[in-house]
Amino acid sequence: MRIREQVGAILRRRVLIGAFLSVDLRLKYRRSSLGFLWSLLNPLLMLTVMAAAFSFVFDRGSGQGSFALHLFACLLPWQALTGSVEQGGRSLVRGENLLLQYPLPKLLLPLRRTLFAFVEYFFALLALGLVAGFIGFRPSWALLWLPVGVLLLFLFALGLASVAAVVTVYFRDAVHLLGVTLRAWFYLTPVIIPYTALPDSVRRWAELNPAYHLIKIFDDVINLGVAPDARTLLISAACALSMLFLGLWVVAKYEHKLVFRL
Amino acid sequence: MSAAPGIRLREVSLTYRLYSNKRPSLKASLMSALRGGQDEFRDLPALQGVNLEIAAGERVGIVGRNGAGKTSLLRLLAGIFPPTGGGIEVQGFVVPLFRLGLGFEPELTGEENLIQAGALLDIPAATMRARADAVFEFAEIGRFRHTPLKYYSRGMATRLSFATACEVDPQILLLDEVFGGGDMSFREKAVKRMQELILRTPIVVMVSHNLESVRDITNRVVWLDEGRVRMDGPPGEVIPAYEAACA
Repeated sequence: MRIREQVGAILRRRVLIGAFLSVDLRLKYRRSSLGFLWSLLNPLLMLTVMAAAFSFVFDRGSGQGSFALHLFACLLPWQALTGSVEQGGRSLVRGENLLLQYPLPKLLLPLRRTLFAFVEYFFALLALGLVAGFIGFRPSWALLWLPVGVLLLFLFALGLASVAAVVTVYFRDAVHLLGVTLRAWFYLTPVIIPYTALPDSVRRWAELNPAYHLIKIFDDVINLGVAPDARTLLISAACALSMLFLGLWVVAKYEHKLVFRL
Repeated sequence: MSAAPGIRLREVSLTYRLYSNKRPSLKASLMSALRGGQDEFRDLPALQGVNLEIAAGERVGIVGRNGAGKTSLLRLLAGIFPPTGGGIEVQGFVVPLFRLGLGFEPELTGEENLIQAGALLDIPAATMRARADAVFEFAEIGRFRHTPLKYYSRGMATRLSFATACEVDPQILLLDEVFGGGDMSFREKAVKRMQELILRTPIVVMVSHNLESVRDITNRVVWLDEGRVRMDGPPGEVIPAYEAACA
């Protein structure tokens, strides 16, 4: 199956994508009394704990801007990325029942998980908006770049989630490896330590990591209030599109094969 | 969909590749690569040279022993498995009603499942919501409309899937062992629900071990034997021949 057909098939299933999103949102908060409110409260509480914990470790002199704001700006998109990859990676294996009942485009399942992770990111961003003023956020025009950062990260996440999903069908224990790898990747990406605090010698190596650039955009526009530089944007876009293409290619290659390996 | 619904299979074959390790893992692959071996597999022909034409008005029963290729054939018709060889044309709106229901999820309520089932068949939520009253009335489970499916009895869940399938107006209905198990009273009710559905659907293809329901419902029976069509004709001829071969 060609990539273009595959994208066309996905676009034709908009009704289903909407239904999946609505189902996933309902299920997540169904049994809680606060219900939907948790999608705002949860990130808020998590961020408070993290900010409190790490404020003791890093003094405010490290890097620029506010540490809490930096942490919020970078950790939330990072979680959207890892959430997509972890849930997306399992999506085809877990979707066995659906895939053996309906002729669905396979890309739909990692896409569902990636979309959901980014919907959660959207709620977390709203939560952040509620408290941003208290932790040193000053609105600036740079914020207009935020949608660009989100889009690039989304495309990157979708590509990676798709690759992980296909690999997991053929190698079921890849899931465990994935968890460890994501954890290691977390420490290699300036999510906790701001990239502005990295010495030049370290930064040169850190820049080899695609996530460095993708996450940097969020630190720039939310925490530092500056527009991302052209180099960051270009590298991010190149990484996002390459990863997306790789994901689409892998799924297209195994589109008709993997249903036999479920 | 203006053209009349129809199914045409020409010399269709389907071969499964069975690997020795059912749950493939990195560890196993690594170990086998270190030993210098390839993944062990053998090819299993599930269907071979199947020719079949089904036109509007036909209710076709597929019979055969376990492993004869019945479910494979149905999944082929549903578009889930691509054929390994030959050509397949399916014209019309296909609704697959398999053992798994309509892709129902236990955590979702009856109504949510109804809406999701519609979405899986590309029917907008608003349309399904408008039809929900009719579905729950028809299935006689109105009280459980907002109860998660996991609290449904098997009979209730089956009635919900029949009623849902009724409302989406299939042109081609694929049924796989939907009568397996269940007590007599449940089966009677289910059959009643189903007959209505079958009357409304131009093409029905059903797989069942229950020859009685095959005889009741179908007007043509295909007997599959080791992946090949052994006999194809009216139920009155094929079923006795199949029974004789099984005895």
